[in-house]
Amino acid sequence: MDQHYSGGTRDRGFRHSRRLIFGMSILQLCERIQDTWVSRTISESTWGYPIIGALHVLAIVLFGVAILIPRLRALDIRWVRRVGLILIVTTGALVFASGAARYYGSTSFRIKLILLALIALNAIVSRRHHRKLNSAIGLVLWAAVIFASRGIAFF
Amino acid sequence: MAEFIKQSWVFPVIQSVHLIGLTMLVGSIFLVDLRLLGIGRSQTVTAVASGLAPWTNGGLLTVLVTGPLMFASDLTRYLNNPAFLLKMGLLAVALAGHFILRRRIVRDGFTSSGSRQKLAAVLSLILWISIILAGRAIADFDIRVV
Repeated sequence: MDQHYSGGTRDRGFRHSRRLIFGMSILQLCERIQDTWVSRTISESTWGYPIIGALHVLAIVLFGVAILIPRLRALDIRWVRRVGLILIVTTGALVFASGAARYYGSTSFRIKLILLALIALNAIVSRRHHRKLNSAIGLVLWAAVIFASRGIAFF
Repeated sequence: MAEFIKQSWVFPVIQSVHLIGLTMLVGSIFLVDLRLLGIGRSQTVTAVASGLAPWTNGGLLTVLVTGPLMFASDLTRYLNNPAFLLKMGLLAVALAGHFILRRRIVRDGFTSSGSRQKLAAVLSLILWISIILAGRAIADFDIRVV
């Protein structure tokens, strides 16, 4: 018992917990995220998830219409797309944090993340050439993201 | 039919199409409202409203097909759901308001909007945002009668 509080043991314990941070599995990382103050506030409150989830959908409408209608580039509405995207990412991250371990286990969520990575890749490439093809691919990918997202609640 | 829709994969697919239709419908209405409020002056109000009309109509058609499909899958669920009832009430007001407003804009062909049009635009924004929030809240207000 006394040994437990000796310097040596404490050091070993410290090193052990540090190794845990760097060598954590993704599931453990998700559990940690889920356990943070922000996540607990959302998951334990009655209104947290409904409100953030609703804002997420609202932001999708803003962002979606800005990328869906090609002639909108003529209007000065780039800010609609920017605000929409920022709101989507923020609310999405909060929803994920509130139940990270559950989302990690969901096949639909994993598919969604892969699709989002493809969208980011597509956006980076589109700056150079094939703009039309890229925006078509982008739209198909976004539609697929919506399908995968709805699927999270079911699969 | 109802049983088919309630199958695990069918319902999320219908929901997804509903969401894409919603984006087209409400997104295009938002843009007309924003133009009425003076955002994006490079095109006239009439040009924006008539140019976006096909998107609004296409979106409306999409949600009016997928929405009733979901509704038909579980009548008791939706009729006992306060969020759903609120959504339908708001939707009726918003749709009537939108078509009246759009007809005026296209018919009168005005290039700038007065305070009455701005008020209409603000009301429209509030209504459609409420509809989206209420629609999303349907899943949160389930009173399941088993």
